[in-house]
Amino acid sequence: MKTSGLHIRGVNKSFADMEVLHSISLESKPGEFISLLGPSGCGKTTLLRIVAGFERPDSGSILIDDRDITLSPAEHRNMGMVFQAYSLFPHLTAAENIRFGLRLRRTPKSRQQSIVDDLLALAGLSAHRDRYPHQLSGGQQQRVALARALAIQPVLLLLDEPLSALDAKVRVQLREEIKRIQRETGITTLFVTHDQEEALSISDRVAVMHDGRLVQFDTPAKIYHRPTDSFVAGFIGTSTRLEGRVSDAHNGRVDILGISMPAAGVQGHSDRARVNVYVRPEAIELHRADTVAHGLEGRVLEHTFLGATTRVQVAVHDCVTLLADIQSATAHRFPVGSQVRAAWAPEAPRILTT
Amino acid sequence: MRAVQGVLIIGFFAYIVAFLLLPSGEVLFGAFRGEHGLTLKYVDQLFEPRYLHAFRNSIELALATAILGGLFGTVIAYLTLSPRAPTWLRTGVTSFSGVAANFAGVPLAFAFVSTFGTMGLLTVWLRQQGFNLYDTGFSLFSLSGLVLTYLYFQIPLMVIIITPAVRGLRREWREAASNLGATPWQYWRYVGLPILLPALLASMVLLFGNAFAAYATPYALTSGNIALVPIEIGNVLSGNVMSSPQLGQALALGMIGIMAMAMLAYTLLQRHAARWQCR
Repeated sequence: MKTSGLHIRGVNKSFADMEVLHSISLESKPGEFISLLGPSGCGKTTLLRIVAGFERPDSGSILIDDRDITLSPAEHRNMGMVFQAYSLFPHLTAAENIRFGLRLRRTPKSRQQSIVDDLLALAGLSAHRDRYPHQLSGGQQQRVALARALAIQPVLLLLDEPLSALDAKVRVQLREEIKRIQRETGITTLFVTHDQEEALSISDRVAVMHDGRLVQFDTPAKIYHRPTDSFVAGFIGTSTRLEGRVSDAHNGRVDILGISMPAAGVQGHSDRARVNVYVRPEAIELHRADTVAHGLEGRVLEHTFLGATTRVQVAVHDCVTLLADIQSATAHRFPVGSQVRAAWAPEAPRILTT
Repeated sequence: MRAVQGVLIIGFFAYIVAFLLLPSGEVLFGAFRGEHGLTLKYVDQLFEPRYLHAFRNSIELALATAILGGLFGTVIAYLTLSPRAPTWLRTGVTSFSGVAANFAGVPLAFAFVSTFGTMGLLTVWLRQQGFNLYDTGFSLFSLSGLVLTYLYFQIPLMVIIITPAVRGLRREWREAASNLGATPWQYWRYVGLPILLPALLASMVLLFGNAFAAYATPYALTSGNIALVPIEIGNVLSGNVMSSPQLGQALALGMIGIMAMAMLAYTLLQRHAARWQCR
């Protein structure tokens, strides 16, 4: 399958007086899997619909392999799209749905047959070829929709929250299948989701959107560990945000609630600068207060059992609640009401200016 | 609760028996009952040129208004439901359809005579503009005039009954088709119409029955000068020409037969068009 690069250049879009996309620029490499991630109403679906040709941008352009397609109608763009749900044509069987785009392109019948057979096999649905959509489960319907989108050998695969209507187990299974199929076909893919776990687990790069703006576009690891924006730091994963003041930028120290804590990320900031310190629960170590002298002291408020780990809520100075994930086997050492100290490694916190 | 349900169900069936099955049975047996016992005399009379002509006129009128009403009604329903259509248009069309679908008989005939009659407002105005409507061969008091008049209630009726089906056409189907390379025409040819077809057929059968059985409108408009089965039944029952209740029952039996054939044709077409729904 031919792989193409997508280039979104300075796209703006408003509906009535409401600006939904503000100067979005994004470039993908051929064969890349990119997720548009953000909360509801952030503009990610509008951006996908502009790429698909269902909406026109007010300004800016969409390029595929340096060819400007901004004004091309959707039917001329040769993009495959999978919608949230219910997009299969209900009067056609699974095989007929997959064949639909090939019939329009007048592909020879023998070729149509072999493409449909191959895609049904790829989607694991060979035994369901003659079933109508209402005779298939939600997961099977989305697999057929994916096969239908791939049948036309699109330059770009667009996925508009294709897993959101499925139950949790099928979601995980299908997202792995989507990744496998994408890897096998090598097709450039744009995937819209509000589920960060989904985005981080299957994407090569993630574009985090907020209020119609692209706030960070990076690899999942960098998005998670090195957010460049306070929205990303708060939206991706779970973090505790602590307000601090740089006490020794050279040696990487920050004052939080009057306690000097390590934070390598303050290097580059000026001394006395006010900063936000984001710490992941898994980066926090808890100690009983009577065993160590360093760290933020607090009182255990609650335990939440998560399986291998237990999330502990710690009230620090009764004004901040800190979240710490500890091994469940050691949770009994920090009973609710006990005094603890929280510490972390210098590289653990993410420092962002206020 | 079950007792209430039982009473309601029994009441419903009693209603069906009293007002559908018993009259139908009376028509069925009455058509074969002569002064001296069973006879085929009245059914034989159905094949006389006068009554064959009436049946042909009624079928043509019902078919023409079902097809035209079905097409125009569907297009109007689609246009008013389109996201680009203003809300006032949707509300207006829905309200008007509710009224117009039930506007028939003498008032409708009078309205059309006032507008399209030989001295009607529109006819006179067109004549003043140099165009004589009646020179084109059109006459409000002919079969084509009846078609025009019937469409006044057939189109709104179609709008009312097809609207839920048109509303059921998902945006995702149109966008998925377009995404796969379909032009708007190809979308309607391969997706929109096949999905709507079962509802279209069912609605058109309803329109056919509605037009086939209409009595007051054609009688008021043409004073019974155009041979239609309901008017012939009225004639033989009222005794204006001759009184023959048995012939009236035979004609009614013929109507039931035509409707049964229409239903059979519908069932066969529906079995094909809606095969994706029934499996």
